[in-house]
Amino acid sequence: MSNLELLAKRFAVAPDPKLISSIEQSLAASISPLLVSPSHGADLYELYIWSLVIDAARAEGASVEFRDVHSAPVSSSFVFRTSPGRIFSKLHPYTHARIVFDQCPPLEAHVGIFVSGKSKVIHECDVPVIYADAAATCRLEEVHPKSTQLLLSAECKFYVQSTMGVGLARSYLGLVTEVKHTYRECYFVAVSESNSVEKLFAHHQKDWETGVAPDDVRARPQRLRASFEKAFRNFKLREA
Amino acid sequence: MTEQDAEDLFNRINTILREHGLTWLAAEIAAEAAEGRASPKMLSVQEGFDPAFLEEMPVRPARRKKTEFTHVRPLTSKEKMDVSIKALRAIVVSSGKILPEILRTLGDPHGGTISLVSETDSPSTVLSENEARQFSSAAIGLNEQLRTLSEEVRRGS
Repeated sequence: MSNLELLAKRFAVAPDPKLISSIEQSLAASISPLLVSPSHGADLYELYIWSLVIDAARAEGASVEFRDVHSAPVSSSFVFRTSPGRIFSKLHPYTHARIVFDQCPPLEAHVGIFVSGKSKVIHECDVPVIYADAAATCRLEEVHPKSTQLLLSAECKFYVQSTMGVGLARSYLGLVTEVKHTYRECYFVAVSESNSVEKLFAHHQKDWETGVAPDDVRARPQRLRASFEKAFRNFKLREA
Repeated sequence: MTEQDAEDLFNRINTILREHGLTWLAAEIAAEAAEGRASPKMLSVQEGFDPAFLEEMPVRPARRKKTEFTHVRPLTSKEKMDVSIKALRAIVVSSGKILPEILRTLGDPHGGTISLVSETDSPSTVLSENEARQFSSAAIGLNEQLRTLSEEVRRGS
């Protein structure tokens, strides 16, 4: 050990035991059942991004109602999917948001449903916004929505930094090839940052936002919401 | 804080996570800490040659060329603590802070519930508005304590 290291060790202050004990208590109290569930909190993160989509629609002047699979209004018991499912499933009264802009076709924002891609292969879409008439047909006929019926979609990743590997980004590039059409927006959203993922998307000119978490000092949730607002604004201009 | 203090704390936090059912997060933190830190390293290496032209090559000393490699060094215990704090903020603190944001979008339903239910036989999770606010409040407290801890780790560097 060098003299400098010996000096540093001599003057080092041990961590405050009270602080450690309060961290232990707060940590235990912060762990919701959603984090312990098999999805490891991923459903919760999808719900968060879904709520940003809805906030963006409201900011652009939409009226929003929450409805279940039978189109009945929902106001207090909200049910969401914990693993990807079928838009027409009536096993549980899954909630979606009905978004209505003046003089535009109504839309629906869902969480975790299957969508049929260009190749007709079925893909999971974490947060899709679909034309409401198409969604109604899918529920009636028990079929998956087609990617052409999406206005926007977001792929959500709730992982720590190291798990955000380039493999996830490669798989997203494949998904975009399958579901992206003209005038349709696809976003890759993650709670952690990853240099390799960001580099890949920047190179391939994909829409992405990482580090999206409440109270982010760089205001990235607001930036993402602004991107969603732009998608809705363009939709209104095209459709009205 | 010494390196040994940081190492003990890193292990303690991972144990707490495992004790509370977050084995997956403890494993992700440990994996990220084990990855080490990559940095570019310039090395002088002998240039390659095509063995097919070996006989035609004039006899001269092999040329050496500077080439960039990626060097990975293990993290110090304090750096491992940084990884742990960052992960706890990204996952545990964020998950708590997300809840009131969702409730606000849903119109702050008094006495409402959020259920996460699978179409398959996975267990369902139901969270009341009150529980959501309790988790959120604990997460805000945890965030402050992690900020203090982060400063302690940095001060001792």
